[in-house]
Amino acid sequence: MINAMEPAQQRQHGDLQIATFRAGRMLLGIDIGAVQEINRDTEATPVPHAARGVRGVMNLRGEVVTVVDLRAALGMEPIKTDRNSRNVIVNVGGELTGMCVDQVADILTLDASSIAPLPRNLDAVDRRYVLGVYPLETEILLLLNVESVLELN
Amino acid sequence: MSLEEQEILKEFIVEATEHLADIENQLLVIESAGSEIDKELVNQVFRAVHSVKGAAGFLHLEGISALAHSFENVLNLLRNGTFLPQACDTDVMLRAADALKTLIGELPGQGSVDGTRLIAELETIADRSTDRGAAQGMASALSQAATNSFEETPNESGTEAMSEPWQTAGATAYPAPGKASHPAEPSASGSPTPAAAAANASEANIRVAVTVLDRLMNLAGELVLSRNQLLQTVDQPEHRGLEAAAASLDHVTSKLQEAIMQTRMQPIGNLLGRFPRVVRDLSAKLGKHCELTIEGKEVEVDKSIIEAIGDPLTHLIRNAVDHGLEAPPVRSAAGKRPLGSIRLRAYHQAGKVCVEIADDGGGIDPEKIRRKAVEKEILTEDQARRLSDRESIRLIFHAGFSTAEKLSDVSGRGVGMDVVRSNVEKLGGTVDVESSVGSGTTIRVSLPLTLAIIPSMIVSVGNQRFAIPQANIAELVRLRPQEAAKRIAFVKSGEVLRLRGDLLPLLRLTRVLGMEKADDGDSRRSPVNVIVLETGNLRYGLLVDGISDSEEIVVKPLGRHFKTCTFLAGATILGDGRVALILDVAGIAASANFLGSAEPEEEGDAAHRGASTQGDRHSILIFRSDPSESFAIPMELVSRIERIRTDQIEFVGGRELLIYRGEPLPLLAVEDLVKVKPRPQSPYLHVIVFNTADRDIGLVAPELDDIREVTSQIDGATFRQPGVSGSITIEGRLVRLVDVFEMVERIHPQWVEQSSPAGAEPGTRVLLAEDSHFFRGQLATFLTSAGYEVHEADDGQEAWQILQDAAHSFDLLITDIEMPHMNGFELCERIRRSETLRGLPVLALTSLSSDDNAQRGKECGFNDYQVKMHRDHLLRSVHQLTGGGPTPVKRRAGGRPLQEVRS
Repeated sequence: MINAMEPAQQRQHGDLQIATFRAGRMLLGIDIGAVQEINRDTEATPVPHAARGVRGVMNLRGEVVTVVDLRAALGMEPIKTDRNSRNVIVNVGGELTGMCVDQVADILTLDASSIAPLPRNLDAVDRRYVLGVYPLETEILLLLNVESVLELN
Repeated sequence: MSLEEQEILKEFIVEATEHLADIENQLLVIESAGSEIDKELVNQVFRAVHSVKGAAGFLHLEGISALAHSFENVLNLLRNGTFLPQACDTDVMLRAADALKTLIGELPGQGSVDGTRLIAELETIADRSTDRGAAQGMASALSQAATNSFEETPNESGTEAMSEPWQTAGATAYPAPGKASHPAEPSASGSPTPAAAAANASEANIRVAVTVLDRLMNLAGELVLSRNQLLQTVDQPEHRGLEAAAASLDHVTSKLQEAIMQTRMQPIGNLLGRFPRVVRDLSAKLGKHCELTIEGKEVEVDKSIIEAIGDPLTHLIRNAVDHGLEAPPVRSAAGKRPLGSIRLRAYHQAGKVCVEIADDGGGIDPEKIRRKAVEKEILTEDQARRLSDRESIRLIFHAGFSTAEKLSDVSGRGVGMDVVRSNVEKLGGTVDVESSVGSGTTIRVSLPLTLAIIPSMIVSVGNQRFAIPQANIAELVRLRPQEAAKRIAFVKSGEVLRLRGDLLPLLRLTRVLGMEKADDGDSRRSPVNVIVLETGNLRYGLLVDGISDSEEIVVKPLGRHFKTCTFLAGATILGDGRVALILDVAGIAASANFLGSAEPEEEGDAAHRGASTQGDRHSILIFRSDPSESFAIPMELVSRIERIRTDQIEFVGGRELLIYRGEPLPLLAVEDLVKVKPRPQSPYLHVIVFNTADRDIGLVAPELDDIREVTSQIDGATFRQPGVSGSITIEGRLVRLVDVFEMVERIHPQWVEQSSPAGAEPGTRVLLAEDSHFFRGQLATFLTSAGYEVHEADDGQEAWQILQDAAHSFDLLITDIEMPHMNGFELCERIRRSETLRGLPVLALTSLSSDDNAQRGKECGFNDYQVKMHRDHLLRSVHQLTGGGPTPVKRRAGGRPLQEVRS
């Protein structure tokens, strides 16, 4: 499994397969290797006094998995789930965690060498969470640092 | 390596590991048998090593094969009776076994162990023995017998057709030995260089008795039948037969669950089996002579627990050898036999598994522990002195504690015991220690039978469900709305439930979770559900909306994001697939900040309390009739609080009274003596029942407001009037303190006269030590009016100085406990140690009426112990201690008699 922790821009050659999804207006992507599955079930049992950004816990085929609201984790207004919302289950730090997103987009194959660092003037997202940017035809793809986002600091 | 080769290698690893699994223990048994060599056992070891050699040779694993070969030679000589292994020989063999395990574990890698030295050592033994062998007469006869049994086994042939013999070797050369219960799991390796890789491989595997597997197969069959039955009902008109099918499915599933759980149960002997080696090696290293006996190897415990308890037990065993048992000369000098004994015993008790480690060593000296604790600044001198021997010994579990003179890598560094305790407690178990100096120490670890599945009760608040472990549930209380209204004291910052004479602290789960409170109007009409919970010494009630069935739930851990949710112990998935959170009973209590006697006993916790308080704290109950006028009464005086209907009050002889529990309860009201606004009309009101002059009296309190803790900053002057002893300001509001004794004196003087003792002997001198100006004034006043000559001291120090001054001599010392500079305990201890003063009667006063203090007071030498505010009891006690009057009758505010405290 490709390690999700490795910053995408360090790879010199080869293509990357990135799973992309939307949270608010942003298009975010993570290495497909880190994605365990994409689940339609965005429901979660709320946990009182949990950290901000935690939606709760869910039953994933017999396992109790933490579900995080990616929008809240990124400092946006909490998610209002609709029929497009999805739960992206990732494997980070040996633990499965679900990230609730507004919409899932395509799986893209990127050329690693075209990944650029986050421009200084783009402050929309905390630098800690973005590993790099990738220009697409009509928008910019932000490569998400899943590990640090899920810290929920 | 081709796929096929990989497969073969994997098989080899598994099989070889199995062969070598028990070898360590077998070698130790052989060694302990001494000259009476158990031929069969040696044969077993031989066959095991032989099989490994053969298979390794086939796979061209030269290192393993060569080592096994030399080992096999020595074993052959051993079973021929050619030589008797010395301790050093057994050492070499043990190391050879270790090396083999390591090499196998590291496959398919090269292996880190260079076997050449070991091979050389083994060959030396072999050479030495064959030289000696010629001289031994029994040799030939024995070798004949040995070869015979050897020939019986089918795996003698060389390297051809290795696959079959080594598989049959698996079947025959490794039968379950008669005595030992089950072969040890490969992971149970006690040697210092364990085959870590092998351990990992084995952790993923588990040995299961074939009978259990058969049962599982049967149940699977039954499950299929049940499923078919269910499918059939789908086609039936109106699903006829559905109930029967569901019942059958329910039944089979339960049995299946039980059987599967059983597969996880392993005999604890697997784990305990590694300890003989540990003890042997450690004793050799430390120059001690130890014998380990193990009892209860067949006790079955869940695999998860076995894995978790291994390290703590190892530490405890090493501790016993290192610190517990004395060196042989020391033991002989003490009249003990030089061979120290350690007894490891596992047994079931009351739904738990207990493991005891008992040594007959030097025991733990409580005095030494106390000194160390003070040295390491874990306790102050004072606190240390107050600890009982038992509590002192428990200090060994405190972080930072190690009485080892120098840090050995064996068990120094002071991190051992507290890690043991926290690991055990994490598993839901407890660890305790008993010791007597000179005789030995016993450490007892108790664990739940399984971690994974616990019986629990499902409760709900709103539409959310939670699980509470059955182990923490003491009882369930369900109250109808009217009853609830009477038995729950609704006060702002805390609620209590009256349960069989006790006031049980009450928490609302909605509040604990920070959920919005349900509509109050509704909740008043529906029945109230309270779960009485217990954890350690703490007991409280949890109010929930609904209680469902009890269920056995599988405990799932919560992810790292919930580390701060201390009120949760995990999560579980209920039958409908939804997640329910599991409540942590102790965590909830902690977050609600329960104080005082609720704290669990831990490292002389009782000693901490009272060591550093600045002044008294009193609990007062605030009430009012009119919103603008608040009054209060000290909680210590309160026997009970009742909520009654106003129409229950009767008027007799111009006074109000209430028929209460069949008896007339006279009622007093603040307005009897104090000018206040008239009582508002209300269908209900409260009556605070207290006891004085030998009778129950009720104080009318229309509305209860709050129970607060206040320090003694009471103003005893400004609002002083009959019935009001003082006032205090709380949050900008004036609260007047009701003096119930005075009220009774004024309104029913005849009662007070009847019950009070005869006046004091003239000239009786009393010294009063009390730091609160207010209370000192109060006490001095009424003591003086009772005829005593009262002298006052601000604190213990001053009182001591006054007593020392020979010009004065006192008949009685009345002292507060909590005082700056010198507290009541210390003062009394000093008095008892003094030649001149030791006979002085001492009466202790306190605002805390906990039994703990009574016990300590007794130990310090108090003659009597009274709750401060109980004026008439106090007077009686004073009278008695100064030489006159009948035995005082003591009743605590709760209505139960206090034990006599007399020196």
